[in-house]
Amino acid sequence: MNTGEGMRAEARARIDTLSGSGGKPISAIRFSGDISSNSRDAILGSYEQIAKDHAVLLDFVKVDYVNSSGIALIIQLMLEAGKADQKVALFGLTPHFQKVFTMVGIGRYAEIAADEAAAVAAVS
Amino acid sequence: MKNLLRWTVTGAWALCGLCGAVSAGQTRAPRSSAPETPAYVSIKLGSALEALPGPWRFKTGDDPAWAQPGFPDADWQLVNLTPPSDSVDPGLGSSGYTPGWTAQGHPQYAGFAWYRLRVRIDAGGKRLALLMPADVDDAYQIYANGRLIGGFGDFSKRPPRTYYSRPQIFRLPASADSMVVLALRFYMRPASLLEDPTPGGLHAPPALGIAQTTGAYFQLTRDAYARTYGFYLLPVLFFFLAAIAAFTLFFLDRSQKVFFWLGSAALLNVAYLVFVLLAILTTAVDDRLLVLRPILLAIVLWTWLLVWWSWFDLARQRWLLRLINGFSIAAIVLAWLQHALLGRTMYPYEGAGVLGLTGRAVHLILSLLPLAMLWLILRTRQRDGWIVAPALVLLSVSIYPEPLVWLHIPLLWFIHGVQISSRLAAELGISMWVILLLLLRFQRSQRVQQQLQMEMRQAQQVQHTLLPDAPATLPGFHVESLYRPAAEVGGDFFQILPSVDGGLLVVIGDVNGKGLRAAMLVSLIVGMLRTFAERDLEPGELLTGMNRRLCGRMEGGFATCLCARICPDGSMMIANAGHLAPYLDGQEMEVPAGLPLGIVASLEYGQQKSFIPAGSVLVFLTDGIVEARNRKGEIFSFERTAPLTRKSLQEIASPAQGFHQDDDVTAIRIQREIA
Repeated sequence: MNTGEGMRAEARARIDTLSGSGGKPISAIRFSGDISSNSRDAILGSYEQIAKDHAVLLDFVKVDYVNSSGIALIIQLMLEAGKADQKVALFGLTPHFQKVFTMVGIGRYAEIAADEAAAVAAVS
Repeated sequence: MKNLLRWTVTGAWALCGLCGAVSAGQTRAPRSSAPETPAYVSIKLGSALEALPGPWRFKTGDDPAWAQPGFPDADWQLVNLTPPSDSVDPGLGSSGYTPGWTAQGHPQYAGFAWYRLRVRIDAGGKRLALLMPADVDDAYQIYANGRLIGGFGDFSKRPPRTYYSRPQIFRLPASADSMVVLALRFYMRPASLLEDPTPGGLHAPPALGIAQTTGAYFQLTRDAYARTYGFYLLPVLFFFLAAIAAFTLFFLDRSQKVFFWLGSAALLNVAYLVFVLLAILTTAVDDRLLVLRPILLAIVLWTWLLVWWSWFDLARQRWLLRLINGFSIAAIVLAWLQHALLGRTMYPYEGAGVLGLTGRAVHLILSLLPLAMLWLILRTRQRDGWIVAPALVLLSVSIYPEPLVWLHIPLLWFIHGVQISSRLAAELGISMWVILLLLLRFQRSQRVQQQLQMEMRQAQQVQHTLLPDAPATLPGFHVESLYRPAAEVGGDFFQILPSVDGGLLVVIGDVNGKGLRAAMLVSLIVGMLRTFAERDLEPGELLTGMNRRLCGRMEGGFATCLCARICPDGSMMIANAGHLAPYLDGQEMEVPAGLPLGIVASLEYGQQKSFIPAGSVLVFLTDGIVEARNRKGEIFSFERTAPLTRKSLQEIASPAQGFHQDDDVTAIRIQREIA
């Protein structure tokens, strides 16, 4: 399973706060670059900054590539969110990575949505 | 302006003054009675080159009328340029140094000043030349009997442009015989007040002589220049080689950032030395650019101190880092202030004394830092400390040489006629020791590398014993496998084991990550797999058991794993822990999704029943094929993979590897034979 980071653009993350239906607070972590083993801060560091009563959206619109170590970090985030009873939804994945994420069982822990609106609806 | 060669030239001035001896003629003695053997040879020695210590008439200020031979200068100050017997060059610690006008009643004076001297000459009608000393502050024009015969510096600009001083020769007019009135118009830039304790005008007497002899002597001094400064090319070369070596080592091992900093410091040092050589040997660098010299020097010293700090792992000595940074920045700021406040000013700045003293204090402390560093290095008994000790001591001396001057310890040495200054010695020493340290570090890293390669080869051998590499011959099935790790060892694993009912147990998986860590985990997983396989478990039970045991042992990672039990009748039970689905006759099969192994201990993996018709081909893959990514970032994809799975394993793997293999590639092909 690949962790070669040679030609990868380092992942960055930005946190936005949104309101779901009924004003429910949602934190959206918007990633950019490639998600890999170097993305621990971008993924788990960003998650740490989110209030634990917020639902979580993971935005992959500006992500080109997620390798296996990146998937491990995403799973770790979802398990942490599961312990805090936070709902998680993902959107913006390419069809290839939608399939990979489904295959590794992420779909059991989070909604893999087609777009942001669907993701917001899923966690509201 | 200070010049390293001035000792040579001023020393020689004393010599020519003492001896005054250049052959002026040679006559053959009258023949004796034996005509074939002369009784003696007669020679006549003459004072062909005579130092002019004065006393000269001296006056600060500037007036074109002062060039005229008839100008009444009787009320001007008398100045004797003979070096005092106890004089010490403040920069080099050598004798034969005449303090400038700031030590002769004009402290803190910068700007214009004139020297005048009447000389009666008996040269027998020969052409004369005036040899000006190497050490002067800073620019001058020479008038002989009111006529401008030459100068050093550009007086067409205001203030005049000045350069690094160097010996110069000027021919006097043919008519300059008998009585010559020499008038020297000097300009010293205010910044020179900061460079020496006693700057101002001449630091050695000019010399007057017969043009031919003076020219020959001038040629000698130029040769001495070439020898002395030619040696500066050695540290330039050594630093350049050190930079290449350091950058090469850095590119071989990016984690060793100290090599990058060392290479940068060496390159900066090359730039500094080339700049200084250009300033000394050419007039390409005038006083406006010379402000860069102390700034560049401060940056070079700063970089070296940081390199040694990092090289010798003094990270815990934060106080030392703070001192290095603080005083290096102070030295840079002071150098800039010197330019900003004094560089453009025609006349003295009142704060020059304070600025000079502050600069000396900063350099004194900076000079102590290499010694402090050496003490810390030796205290921690680092072997390299003794190797670098001479370079650090020389560095310290070159930053602040004054204590040695006070102790009358010379800062110039002559080795076979070549003048070596403490600064040159420091540059040579540092450059050579840097190369030596790099070689030692390279030798050590090579040893470590060889050790790692050996361990990696051993791991590879172990992995090969764990992963089957020969086609398995099992009744009813034709089985092939292909395993191509991206590195020496890989994170992919697979097993094809016969089951008690005559069928097959096929397991394929992938540990996230690569290298030795992944290979170790593969060993662990394969060991577990073989143990579980002996119990004849169902695929779901096998994955559940393995997951439970792997949780907490994967260091935050995981392993995907697909497990299939194929019976001789073609029925198949399959369980999946996040791995790619297999392909049956080129079609991706539906398999249950599941988290990879090693993440959640409490997971129970389900299984699904399928069927493989006789003659069908089942292909298992790892993501090294599907997720191969080319340089444009394009992924090989499921779509490209599916049709390939109808072909041979070589034909499946090669296109993906051609796409750009960045990951391990594993493929298993199982064909159920037609009964």
